[in-house]
Amino acid sequence: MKATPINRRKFVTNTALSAMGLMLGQKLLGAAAETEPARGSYDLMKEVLKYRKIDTHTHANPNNFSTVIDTADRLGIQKMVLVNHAYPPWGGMDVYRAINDGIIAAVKKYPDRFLGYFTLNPTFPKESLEEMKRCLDQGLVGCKVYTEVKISDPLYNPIIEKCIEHKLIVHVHSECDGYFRRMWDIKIAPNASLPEDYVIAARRYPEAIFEYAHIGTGNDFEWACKVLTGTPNIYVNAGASDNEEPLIDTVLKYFDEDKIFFASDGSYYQSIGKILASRATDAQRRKIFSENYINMMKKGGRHVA
Amino acid sequence: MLLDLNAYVGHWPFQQFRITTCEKLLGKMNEYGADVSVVSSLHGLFYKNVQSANEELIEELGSNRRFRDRFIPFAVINPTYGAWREDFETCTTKLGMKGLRLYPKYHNYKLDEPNLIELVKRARDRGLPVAFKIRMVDSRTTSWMDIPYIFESPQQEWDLKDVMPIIRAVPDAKYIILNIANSMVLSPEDQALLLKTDFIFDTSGKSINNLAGQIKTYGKTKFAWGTHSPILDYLTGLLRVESLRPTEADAATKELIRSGNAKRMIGI
Repeated sequence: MKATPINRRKFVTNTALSAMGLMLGQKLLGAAAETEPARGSYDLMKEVLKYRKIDTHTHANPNNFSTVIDTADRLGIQKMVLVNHAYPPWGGMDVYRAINDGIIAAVKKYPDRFLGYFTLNPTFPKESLEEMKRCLDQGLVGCKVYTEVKISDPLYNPIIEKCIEHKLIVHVHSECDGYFRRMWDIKIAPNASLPEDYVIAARRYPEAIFEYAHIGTGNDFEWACKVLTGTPNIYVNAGASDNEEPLIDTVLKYFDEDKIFFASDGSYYQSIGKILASRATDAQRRKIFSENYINMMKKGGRHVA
Repeated sequence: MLLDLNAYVGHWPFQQFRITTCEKLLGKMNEYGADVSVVSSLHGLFYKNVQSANEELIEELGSNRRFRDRFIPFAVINPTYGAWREDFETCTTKLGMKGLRLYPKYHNYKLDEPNLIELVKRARDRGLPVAFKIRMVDSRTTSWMDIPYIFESPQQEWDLKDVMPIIRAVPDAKYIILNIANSMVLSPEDQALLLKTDFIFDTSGKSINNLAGQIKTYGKTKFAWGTHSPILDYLTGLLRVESLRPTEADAATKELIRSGNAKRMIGI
């Protein structure tokens, strides 16, 4: 941003407040004669491009790979984690294999831009474990499940145990039991994983690593933070479409700063804007934008940057 | 110059936001290089008598000389409340307010409400812009005491098409459409009408997700920087502007979006 300097005194001659000043003159004349502090100089795009970024939660398909990569280039996002998944009504494992084939193909086509997570349906336990092995052999690096099964459901246990064995992050679609769900319950699936479900699973498997997905997508982030805090094996990704002003600072208040990931969930501008507008320090921003994810993946022997 | 077309002063009753006063907003403006903010009262839209909130805002703006050339007040008017015509007159003449922000959902009237049409015509006759919000907050995270316009419920959040009845009724007024979220799809007739209308979208809303393409659709004069502060973060709306490439928006176009379009709309 390089805003054009103005003569503010000249500008104000036409503004409402100068008129108001005339009308409220006596009051204004009585106001304290504070002096204006020097205006800050802020180059937004310089700040944006200063940070290496790994988007730990995005969706793309062959129809929009070029658009997604173009947006990433525009905003200085070096790598993106594809977490495509199935939608209800749930199909058989062939649906999941097809989705995973698409992710594998994307990672192979754009190895410098995409990492990929496989998706599974825990209601098919044997086939899911077989599919996990196939996808790991093809280079995918994490596990994404949508709302097929709550993360706390025992059906999930074999998958979590296999993720522990392979040091894979367990990334599950999240929602929150707020007004929307309680009063209307229209869109949210009954098996959506709530913060409370994450805590059950994380305490059951303290050696596993869980990722609470998109705390800014229709989630009551304050509710989620209050429930999830104090559970050390839960990471949080700070996506996505909602960019409420206090979001990042609230997440920093409740979470270890080493356990927060940058994520867009396709809302690229909000995901970056809310971090840069937060009170996070430069070091914290570096951690959130990429270092935390790089370090977490290193623990599993995966070098992603 | 940077002019934020979409800021508030005050509290939101259901959630803590931090930039609640002129002093705090001025600090944020100085931090990020914003010159001027268009403001109205945030909590005032919940007052039965919104005129009290307009007066509170003017009083706060008059409390410190440093606020004088940094804020442009817009009035919140409820055209279904008693003596609204007098409120309109007071705000636009005695208090020097330069536009209106109207909240049909919060004040529980439809966009074909005769009083609303009369109010918009009065604003038109004074050359004042009239602003409508597509939404204040994401309904999925809202309070149980907030309005029941809920995402994917029988009474959904607004889309762009929900603003069109008033534009059809008073097509020659000046409109500001703030925090554009959800669908921007219009019928061919409404799309043609909108393109002929004097209107601006601010850039705070999540539907501004391809500003370069949207400039091609609507024109470079139809967008202005807005934050929706204090509810949304201060920078996302600006990032949508500043990340435009030179091939998508030249320096003159960016300057229109940073301030020029808003200045023309407000008449300053």
